[in-house]
Amino acid sequence: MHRGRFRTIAPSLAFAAACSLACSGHPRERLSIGIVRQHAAALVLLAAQEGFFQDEGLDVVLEEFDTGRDAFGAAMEGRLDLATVYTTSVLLQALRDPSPRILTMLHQSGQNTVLVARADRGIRTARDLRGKTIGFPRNTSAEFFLRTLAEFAGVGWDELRVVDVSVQDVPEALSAGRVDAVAIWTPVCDRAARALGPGGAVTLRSDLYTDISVLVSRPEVVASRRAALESALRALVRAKQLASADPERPLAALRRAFPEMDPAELRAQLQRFQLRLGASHLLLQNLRSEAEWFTRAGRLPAVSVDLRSIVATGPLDAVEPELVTLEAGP
Amino acid sequence: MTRFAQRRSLGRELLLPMTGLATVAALAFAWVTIDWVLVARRLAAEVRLVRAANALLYELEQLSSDAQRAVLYHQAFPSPASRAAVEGAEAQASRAADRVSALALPARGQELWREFIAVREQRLALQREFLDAAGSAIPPERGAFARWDLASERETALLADFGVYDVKRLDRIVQRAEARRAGALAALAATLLAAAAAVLLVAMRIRRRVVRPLLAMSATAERIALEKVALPVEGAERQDEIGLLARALNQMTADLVLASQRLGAALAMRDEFLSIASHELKTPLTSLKLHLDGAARRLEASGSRAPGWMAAAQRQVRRLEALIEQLLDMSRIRAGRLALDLEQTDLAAVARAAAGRLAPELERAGNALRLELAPGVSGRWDAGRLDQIVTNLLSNAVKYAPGTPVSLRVRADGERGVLEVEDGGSGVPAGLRARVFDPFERGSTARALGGLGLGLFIVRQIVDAHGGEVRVEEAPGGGARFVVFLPMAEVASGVAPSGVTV
Repeated sequence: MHRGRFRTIAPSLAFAAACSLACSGHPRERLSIGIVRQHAAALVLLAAQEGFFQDEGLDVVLEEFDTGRDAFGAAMEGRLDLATVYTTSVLLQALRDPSPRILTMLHQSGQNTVLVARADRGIRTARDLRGKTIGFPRNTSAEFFLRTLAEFAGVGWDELRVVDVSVQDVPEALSAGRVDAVAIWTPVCDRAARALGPGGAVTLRSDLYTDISVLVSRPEVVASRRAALESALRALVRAKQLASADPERPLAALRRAFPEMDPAELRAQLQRFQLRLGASHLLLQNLRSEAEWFTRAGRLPAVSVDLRSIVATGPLDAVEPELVTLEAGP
Repeated sequence: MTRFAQRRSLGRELLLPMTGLATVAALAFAWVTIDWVLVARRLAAEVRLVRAANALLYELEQLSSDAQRAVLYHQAFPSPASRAAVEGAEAQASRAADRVSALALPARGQELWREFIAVREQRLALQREFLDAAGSAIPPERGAFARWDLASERETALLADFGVYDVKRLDRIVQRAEARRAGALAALAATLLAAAAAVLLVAMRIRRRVVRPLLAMSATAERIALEKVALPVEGAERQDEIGLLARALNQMTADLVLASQRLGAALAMRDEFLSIASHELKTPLTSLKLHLDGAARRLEASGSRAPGWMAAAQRQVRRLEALIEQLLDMSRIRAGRLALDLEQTDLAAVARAAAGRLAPELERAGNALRLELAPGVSGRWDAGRLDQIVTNLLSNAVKYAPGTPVSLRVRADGERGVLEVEDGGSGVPAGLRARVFDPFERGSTARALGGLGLGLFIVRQIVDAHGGEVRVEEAPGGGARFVVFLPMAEVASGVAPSGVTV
């Protein structure tokens, strides 16, 4: 977790919350959200910076994490109310207790997670990955991406040498040559490619792989804080409407959140994203697909998992029914 | 044409708000009806669109399944025919998809459909590669089927999303219709409440502007009738119909009072004339009577028989004297100078004496007099005036019921002495009974019956002066029965003390 960034964001959020509290005279309901330091958190950041959460009577505290997996873990442990996370981590937790509850998609992207390979290791296509050492943060969407990329290329998982690399270590592991390639998401992938210098990196993308980030919580939070969750979703819907009307607004939100990043790069990265709210069959299909792949890989038990039950459509359906295209569920 | 000016119309004043109210209510109903019709049309159009989209989706789903089965068949048994089957199914599916694309979908629907089309095109591209490879000597790339399968699943998922969206649209249409219906009902309820409030206001206005003034006028008119005074009714200053009525009533009251004053003056003049005339007539009449009586006594003393004309002249003089006495009594009553000389009086004795005096007249008229005089009925009464009562009542029987039996009764009724004179005549008509004790009222208009119509008037005045009561009722045989009640105990008030005029 980046405490420094949090210290930057927290005072302004606290000030805004205090101001609103003084103006309204009503105590705001506190809601903690763990966000991943990625573009996937764009809608949450935009809603916070535009004061939409405050408008909904919420005192939202954001905590930043390097991976959605970590944010998700904090939420599942009860340290946070909500978290932004990719579906892979959610899926791997689906059979455990507590079972997560997906409230909405936050983004969908086919270009967000990529494979960055060292050009000097002879990797030009996915078929060239046989026998290569690939690093990635385990139990994240990067793992699922790599699995699909290899399988679509006809390369077996056992033909790869896979190494668990933390997000922070990815650029260094690649540049140091400890791995031949890394599977990683934006913006780390760009940093990793830059670390190899001009012409030193080969980037492979999948035409079918789609990663989806979601907003998740625990069942008891969904049950006991329904109104607050609906307020948060309402704020996110406003953020999405604002982003659709003016695409520069989410970019501005990301620049404020990630001032160290090059604006042009940030813009290019954001273009790979489709900021999206909803609970759909596409989300469910994505989860089922991942579950199938992880089951085949022995990472999940071969038991039937009711993935529909982990999508809590009620709050979003109450806020914006059009965004829910799944039949009624929990 | 009325002689009273009316510049404002109460009718218009009350009619206008009622008309306005009715118009507003009618417009509200019309608005709700038209709105509902328009909404129903729009909703029906939307429902048709949803149903059309749903039917196409179903068709597309079937065709996609057919195409997928054809692909799997072609994978297992590649041949030009199996390839043609795939392409045929896909062509049909594409036509169905084109028809959906042509529908006027809402923004969210278009967004979902665009996504579906993009994934479908991606799947078709992968499918072409896959089929081409399956049909060629080169085996398909490992993972090609998995890619196609994933794309197919994604396409199916998006089709399902669109299907749910379409069904939810139907739900929203129903919700909107229900919300609109609730809104229309609320609008109607609000209109009815407003109309009820307006009706209440108009009713209050009618009460204030019409009913209250009319009640006030009615009360004033009642006072005018009772007090015989000219009182102005309220509302004469108003310029509407109520003002018109008030001014007309005021004018009518003024006219009536003037007429009443004139009548009073005429009556006073009449009474004064009668008083003067009776006094003036009484003196020569008394002289004439004395002369006649003197001449009769002288003839009687000389042993000569008095001629018949003398007796007749004496009767006419007595009759004339009685008439003049009635006129004088009338004058006294009008002037409030009817004097009572109260003393302990036996009613039966008075009745017997009066009956004896009138016996010749009764006999001449063929009236058989029957006396039923209970003893001991006495009180502090004016014996002379009681005699006058008996005389007047018996004379009345002689005049109006000749040839019939006449009963004269005296009895006690508790604390009251009762005097009854009952005849066997035709009685007093019911419509006349209330007026029969008024001055100059006569039971018959026949001049042959004679009299001034003052006898019963004087009877009532004397009875009233004694604190008693007189009434006329129908006798069992149909004749008239006059009943006089006189208080036997001396009352504290209402009865004039001895020698006092009332």
